[in-house]
Amino acid sequence: MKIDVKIIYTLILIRFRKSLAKDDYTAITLIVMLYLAVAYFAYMNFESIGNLFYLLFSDSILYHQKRNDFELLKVNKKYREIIFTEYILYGLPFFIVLFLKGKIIDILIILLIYGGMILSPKLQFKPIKYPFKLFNPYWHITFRKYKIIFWLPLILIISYMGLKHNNENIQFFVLGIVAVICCFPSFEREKIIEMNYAPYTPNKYLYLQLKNTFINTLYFIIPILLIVYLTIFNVNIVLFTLFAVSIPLINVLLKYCFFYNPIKQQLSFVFGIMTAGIIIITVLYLYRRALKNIKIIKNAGY
Amino acid sequence: MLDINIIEKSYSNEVVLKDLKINIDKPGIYGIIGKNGQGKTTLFKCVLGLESYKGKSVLNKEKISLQNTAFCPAEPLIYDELTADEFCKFYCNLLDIPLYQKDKELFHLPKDKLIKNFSTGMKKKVYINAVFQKKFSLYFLDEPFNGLDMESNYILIKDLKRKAKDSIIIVSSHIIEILYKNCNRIFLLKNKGVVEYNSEDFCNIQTDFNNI
Repeated sequence: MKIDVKIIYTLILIRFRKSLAKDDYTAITLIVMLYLAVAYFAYMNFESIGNLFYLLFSDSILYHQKRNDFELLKVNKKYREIIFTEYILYGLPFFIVLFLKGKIIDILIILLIYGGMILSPKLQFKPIKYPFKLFNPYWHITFRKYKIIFWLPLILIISYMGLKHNNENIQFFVLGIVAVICCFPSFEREKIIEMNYAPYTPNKYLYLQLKNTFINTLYFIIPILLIVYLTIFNVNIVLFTLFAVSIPLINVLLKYCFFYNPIKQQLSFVFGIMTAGIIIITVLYLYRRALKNIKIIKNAGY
Repeated sequence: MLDINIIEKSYSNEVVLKDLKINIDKPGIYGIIGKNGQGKTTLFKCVLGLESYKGKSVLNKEKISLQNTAFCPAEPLIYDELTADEFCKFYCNLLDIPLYQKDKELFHLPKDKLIKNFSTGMKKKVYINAVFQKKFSLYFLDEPFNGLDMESNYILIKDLKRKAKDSIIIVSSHIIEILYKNCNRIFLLKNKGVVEYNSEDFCNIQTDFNNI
């Protein structure tokens, strides 16, 4: 067991090193403190945050899909237990929140999902063909990389539960999740050489990116909207749908506003979600800034 | 037609290229050779505007950019999570050309496999297929034959010869025999500048190359 603890410690350290300098224990401590602060905030506002809290556990699921050290870990007979413990440690503060709130069944469900994910073998399937427009290849890439298509049944089931129990809030939640998923491709960046290849003016280039995101968002959102609208159809949900569709578009603007700084984009995105009004007011400014940056990138400043 | 004039290109305090002039006035295949680190890739990037430099490069009096020039880097930038067809379609959208026509592609590649499962040579073929969908007046190909099998090299050379009837094709390669056989002229990068050889002088290249 001693060896296992050492391996888990190393795995966690490796994960930190991907984004932080080697042996930067101050930064690591700050991140751990941030984790704890988020958990404390979630505990204090658990009822108002609602189901969004469970998104915190998706971090390990996303990480599991991306990691490529399984072959190496398989050298150890207990590699599955090691990975399982690693994910429990990542989510420990949030598991404690659930425990303190008496959500034992929820804890068990999350652990079952983690376990199932680790036990299921990595199968080689033929690549799924998506209907997405290919002006931005990251729609295909993120859907394949994070296996987002497999989330769709889960989203549809949640939406169906909302329909069955006539619960409007679940449908708002579902639309929110879909909007966030449709933002994933805009968190990635195309290569500068590709932007230079494109013969379009910066205006047209940005327009095509927005059009591409709009159409692809519709492809994903329409099947879910059909169920949502069966449950509720009033001004509020229509307005929220418009908001949900506009979020991926705003994230495209944010991508070009902060093309060289993805962290600023992520922070602005979170801030924008929390203060929906402000981001809508600033759309024109974001559009102009995005356009200006595309001009600079296309001319490469040379 | 093509006029390259690099007064100076340096990284920090180190000068990589200096007083480099290349003038090409008719379509054809032209070779660029040089030892590792002599600045072949830097030269391509400068001319294409991907790197800053002192000087000017023009094609038919127009500034050279990726909108009028094809560029195939030694290690093509492709997306592992796409299929070869999808990558070509993406380039169609990017280059603003009519929809992807599979029968017109130079190399045949598996349809139902992701690029991440391809070999180095196959990845290069994906990129060449994608970029060659558009007709350019100027092509810069950095080590295009590396990783390709013999048959594919033959197909590529054949296609380049066809393109060379009305386009300028500049190829850098360490496979000197291919260049001797197919190039109108060869440029040897030497002492931060360039030495030019016409086909009748190709026999001197080897000696000069060894003396760098």
